[in-house]
Amino acid sequence: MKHEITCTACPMGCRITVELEEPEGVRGSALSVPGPVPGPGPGTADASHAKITGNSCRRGAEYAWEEITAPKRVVTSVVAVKGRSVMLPVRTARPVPKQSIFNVMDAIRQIEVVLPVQAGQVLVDNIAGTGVALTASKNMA
Amino acid sequence: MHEVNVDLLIVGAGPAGLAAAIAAAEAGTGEIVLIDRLAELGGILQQCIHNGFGLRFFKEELTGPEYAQRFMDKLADFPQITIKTETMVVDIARDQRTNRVTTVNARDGLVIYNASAVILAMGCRERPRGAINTPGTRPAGIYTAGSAQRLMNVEGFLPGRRAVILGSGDIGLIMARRLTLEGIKVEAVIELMPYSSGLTRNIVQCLDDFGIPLYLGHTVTEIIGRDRVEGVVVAPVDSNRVPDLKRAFRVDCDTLVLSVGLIPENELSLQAGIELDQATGGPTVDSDYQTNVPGIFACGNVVHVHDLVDDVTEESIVAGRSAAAFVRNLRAQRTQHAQCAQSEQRVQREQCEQRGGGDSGDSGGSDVSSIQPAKDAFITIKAGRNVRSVVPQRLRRDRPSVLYIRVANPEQDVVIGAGGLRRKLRHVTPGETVRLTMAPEYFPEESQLTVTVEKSEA
Repeated sequence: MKHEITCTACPMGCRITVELEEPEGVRGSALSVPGPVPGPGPGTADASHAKITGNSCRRGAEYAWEEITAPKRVVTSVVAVKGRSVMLPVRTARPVPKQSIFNVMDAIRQIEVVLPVQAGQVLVDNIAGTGVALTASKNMA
Repeated sequence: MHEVNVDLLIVGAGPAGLAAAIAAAEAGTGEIVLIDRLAELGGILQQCIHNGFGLRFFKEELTGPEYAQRFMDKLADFPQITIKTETMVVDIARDQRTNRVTTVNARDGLVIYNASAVILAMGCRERPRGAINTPGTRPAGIYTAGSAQRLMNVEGFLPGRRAVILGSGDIGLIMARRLTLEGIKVEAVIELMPYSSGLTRNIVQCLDDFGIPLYLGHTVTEIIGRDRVEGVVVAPVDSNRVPDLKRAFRVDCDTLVLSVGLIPENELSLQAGIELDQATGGPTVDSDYQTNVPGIFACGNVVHVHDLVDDVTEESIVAGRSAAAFVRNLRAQRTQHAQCAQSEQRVQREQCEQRGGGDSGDSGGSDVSSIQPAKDAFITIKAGRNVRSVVPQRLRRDRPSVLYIRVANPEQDVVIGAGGLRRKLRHVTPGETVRLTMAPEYFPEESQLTVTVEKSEA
């Protein structure tokens, strides 16, 4: 199976091709595993699983592999602040699985913070069951 | 009204002004005043809540507010930087000895700063509907992307329920995702050109992730609705960008978001007599980010619209250091002049004047032009084949410089040529600035250098 991916690891935007070369019996198994699949370490990216071409660096190969097995995104939004008319920008501390983006958004909408907060402060330990923290993006007092 | 003497005054406390202020303070500049018209520092970064900032400068993916916070935290280390928020700069006038910067705010009233050096860091503005003359009615529900972004991310309002976005620049793409995440249906992103001017990562993460259609080579030919937007008419355009109305179709929506370009904000620059580059819309600058007016520097989006804030920070640090050096040189020269004036012996005075190069008639005064490098110390840059703009526009012969090159059209497999330097690139597009570090060994003998993008032969 062949996947065309535009790399977003940096602004270069390399067009990366990933060819999966598994035997018939296990084809697609990597894609059907729910949740995160560990990315390939150095040198394993184009070993038995897949042939990755078009990337300019190792990060590109890792990105392409993750993109076809377990894509993740950082979710950013804003939350209400008690007693204030402006919003507080927030982010997930790490990328969350792409399919949980809207669950994370629903959870963020329920939050109201009490000031003061510091940039990087954890507002929710485990947002929408992703295991990832939601943190404040700026100081607000 | 009162007057204050300062070493350096910076107009705008967004990413450019913040980085320039810190760099100048680190380089030893004494009194720095940092002015912003908003109550909060950080400029546009405060409403850019998405991540992707700082990949090169901090080697991390930060959100806009986090990126700003890093610099705001650092400001606290420099007591010589005075911050004036909710303050407008209304005029910059240059005289022989100083820059007279007129400011106004509700606390201090009118204050004139006499600044040895000025850094312009005013950023840019969005082009509104009037700039593209879209026909139709004038209902509520038409926003520039930045206004919609501010409404959502700072003030906490949703701009509508069903949106069409005109323009696929980065802010338009970012807003397509932001609207979608908040439950607003984005019907389409419409792009006049046959390619997007946004970063590839934004097309992938903002449109592809959510299945938002991108109509390349299309435009909005009519806005429909009396009190509120009810829909827009979209039509494909030909190679001359003329819409084909026979193939037009209607898209129902209550909101139209415009992301149709940014213009550097240079009203103050023009008042100060600064020369603008037609291609960038910003001041022409040299390797030090000094404008054609000695002692006035410029950096950030006021010079040219950047794709990445990391580039803004990089050039603003250069501007900050250069302004610091200018202030230092001016002081040294004034001290020397003062010594000359005090000198009793005629012979010594003559020697002093020869060394200092002071040609001004007023005793004790200093003409800033005397500490400027000679004309032949510069190489003028010209835009050649498939190059829309290059910043800086003048290179100092004695130091390396980073060139920011914007191409005119997308092209595959090219060679960028600048003097003796040639770099192969697989892909160039107007949406992604090419950054080229140029050492003096690549500079030509001539006083002019043409930057070109040529088809690669290999």
